[in-house]
Amino acid sequence: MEKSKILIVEDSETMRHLVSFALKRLSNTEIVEANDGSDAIKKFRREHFDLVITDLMMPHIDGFKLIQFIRNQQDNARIPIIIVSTRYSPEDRERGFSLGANAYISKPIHSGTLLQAVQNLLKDHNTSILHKSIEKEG
Amino acid sequence: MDKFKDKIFDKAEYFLDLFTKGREFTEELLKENERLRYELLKLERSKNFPDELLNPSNTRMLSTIEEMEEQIDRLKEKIAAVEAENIDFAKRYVDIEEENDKLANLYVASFHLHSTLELQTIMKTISEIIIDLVGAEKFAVYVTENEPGKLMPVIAEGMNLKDLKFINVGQGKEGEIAATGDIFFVPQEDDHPAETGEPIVIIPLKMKDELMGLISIYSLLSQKAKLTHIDFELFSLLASHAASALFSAKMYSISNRKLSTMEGIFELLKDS
Repeated sequence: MEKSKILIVEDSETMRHLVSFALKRLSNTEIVEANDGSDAIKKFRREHFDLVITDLMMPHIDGFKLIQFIRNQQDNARIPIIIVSTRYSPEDRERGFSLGANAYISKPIHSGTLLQAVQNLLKDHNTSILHKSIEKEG
Repeated sequence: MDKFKDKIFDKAEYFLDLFTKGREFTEELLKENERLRYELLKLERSKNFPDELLNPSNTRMLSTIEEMEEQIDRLKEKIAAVEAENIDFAKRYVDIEEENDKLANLYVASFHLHSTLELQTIMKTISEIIIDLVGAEKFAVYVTENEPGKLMPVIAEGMNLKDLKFINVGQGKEGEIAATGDIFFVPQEDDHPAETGEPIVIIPLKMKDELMGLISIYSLLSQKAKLTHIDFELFSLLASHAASALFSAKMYSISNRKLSTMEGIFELLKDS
């Protein structure tokens, strides 16, 4: 089975390490780190990801703009996106979801909550890919 | 002869009477038996037993049912025991997850505090720990200046750095805590306590007896109801590890300065 590639976009090195450390508990996953939105976009141009975990407040290109960029690309339009942020206002959540985020987790994080969200979204994503390939073959 | 006949008739009457009473008694017993059977039937029906089971020939089936009922009771007891065990496992799972989170937080925090000797990076790491790992909204970080007994504000989050004053060790709440070296926190009785402007947590950063700095937390993020035991572990870690990281950075900076001075002197000596 192919490994699921997860991109962590976070300008805080400590937080990026903590998220990456938590995700190491998941088997069959490869973790790639980006230190802000523009770094993430560069990585997106080179490789494909199965899930994205992004912060909102980042220099240069923030999380909202990054989500817009991802959703505007045909190949990445359905990639699951999880927002992990210190921002917790209903407006931020609504904006994040309206742009296409699939989950919103506030900091400080509990690794169990994050892992659960990642596992559920990866499962749904893999199932939809499988359905698509069956449709194509059919 | 007549007397003999009379005697026989008397005896016959006596026996006849006796048989009659015996018959009546037997009839009464039969009636009572029938009544009891009827009562039993009513009783069994009230227990919802099927009619065919009431047949005495089905006693084996009844005993099988009894055995099965006993088995059901035993299974119910076992299920209850397994359920109780499951609840215990669930509680232990939650505890382990919490412990895991705590260890991950402590590992990552200490890893980053000691991964550099640059003062700026250490300060950035301290901020990241307080914002991302603890979930503080307003806080300030102070460090010891060249002037002894004074703490200078170097980081302010959620407030203006210019508004913060120097702390004199031993004066005011923060100064007193800096002098004692013990972590201070306001006991959290309610979730989301009202902001008073006063620090809710004060962490003196001490390397052995030498005060290196101080962290004051004034409020938590809105989604963070109250401090958890992981936070207190992080405060203890910050108190000692942030202090030693600051100390190492200071030493590194001093030794670097001395090294460049020495190099300069050597260059001058070479030239002369």
